[in-house]
Amino acid sequence: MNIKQLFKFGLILMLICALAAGALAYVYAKTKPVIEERKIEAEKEAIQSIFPQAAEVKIIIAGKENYKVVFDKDQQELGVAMKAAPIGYGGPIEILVGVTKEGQVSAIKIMNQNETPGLGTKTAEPKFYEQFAGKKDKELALKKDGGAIEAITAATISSRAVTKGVQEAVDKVLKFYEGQRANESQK
Amino acid sequence: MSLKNDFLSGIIKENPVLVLMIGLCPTLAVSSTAVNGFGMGIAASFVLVCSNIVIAMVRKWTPDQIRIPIFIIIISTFVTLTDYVMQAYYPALYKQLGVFVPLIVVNCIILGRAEAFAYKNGVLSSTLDGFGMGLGFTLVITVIGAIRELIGNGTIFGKVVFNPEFQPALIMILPPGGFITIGLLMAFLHYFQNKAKEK
Repeated sequence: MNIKQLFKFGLILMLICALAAGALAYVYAKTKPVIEERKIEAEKEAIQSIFPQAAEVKIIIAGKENYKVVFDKDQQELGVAMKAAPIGYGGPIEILVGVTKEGQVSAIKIMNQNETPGLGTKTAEPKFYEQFAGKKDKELALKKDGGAIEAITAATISSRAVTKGVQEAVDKVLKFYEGQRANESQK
Repeated sequence: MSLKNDFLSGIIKENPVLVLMIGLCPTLAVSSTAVNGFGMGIAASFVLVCSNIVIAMVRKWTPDQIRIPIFIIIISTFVTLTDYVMQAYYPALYKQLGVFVPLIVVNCIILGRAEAFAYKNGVLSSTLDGFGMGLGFTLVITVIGAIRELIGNGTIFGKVVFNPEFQPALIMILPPGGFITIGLLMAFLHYFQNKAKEK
């Protein structure tokens, strides 16, 4: 291969790469705002599903975490929408937990999971996740661990993971409210 | 006649999955339900047709020595474009297929057809080849998905088929079910092809 050929090949590759990059940049710029909008919409929908009366969300940063505090249309505080990602059988299970001021679960929603099809994926079915509504403290554990949540047959690891995630989310929210109260009394 | 052949050969005679045995990886991974299989088939077919057209167009200026990097740039560009467009305008489909879209880039059917067909044939033939191969791939992956979903979950395209007492054979929607189904389908196809030859 001589030098001349080398330059020719380099030039051709560069041309094709430049064309590809141009096309990608164009489509990326066109689709990005739409994609962002979809993400925001999806999150709104998710919050709506755990707090049906939700009308407004305020993000409060405390420590390292972002807390999404949810209000209804009369500015009444409903609670906090907390994300959790406990490790299940097939990687993290992303859940959104609605927690009230009193540390009670309003509802949970499984956002993303990678569990065994037909077994662990049943955590995303209403029959399982609706059990969490209205539960608090010690109830947030599987029945076989002394709590009030019925595990899915043959998917104890997934069920336990979700339960643990919810529990941790509740703990975090309770701590957050404690912190808020402490702040207020200082003022 | 030969144009018709370009289109038809991909469907049965040279079916990419069952006869050429390329693109097995996505076929096994995404065929746990009929809907997933169909979506993956359509998305991969779209990329295949586009890349076949572009490669047939640029083949005259493509030096032999650097054709593979050029193919790969073209294919990955189309995959990324598909990813963005799907994410923006077909969110429901993207939710189902999102994780599989980047996998299209490693689907050897696309690089295989670029190398074996589009690089040596005109734009029209290559387009038809893309459609035929895409259809063959979609057909097979959907059928495998339907079989696995039916036996492994008791549903087809998400609709319940059997009565509630039906105990689904879970193995069919787990990875082994993919191997079993694909092997049986290959055996059937070859059996009928051999029989046709004897006559």
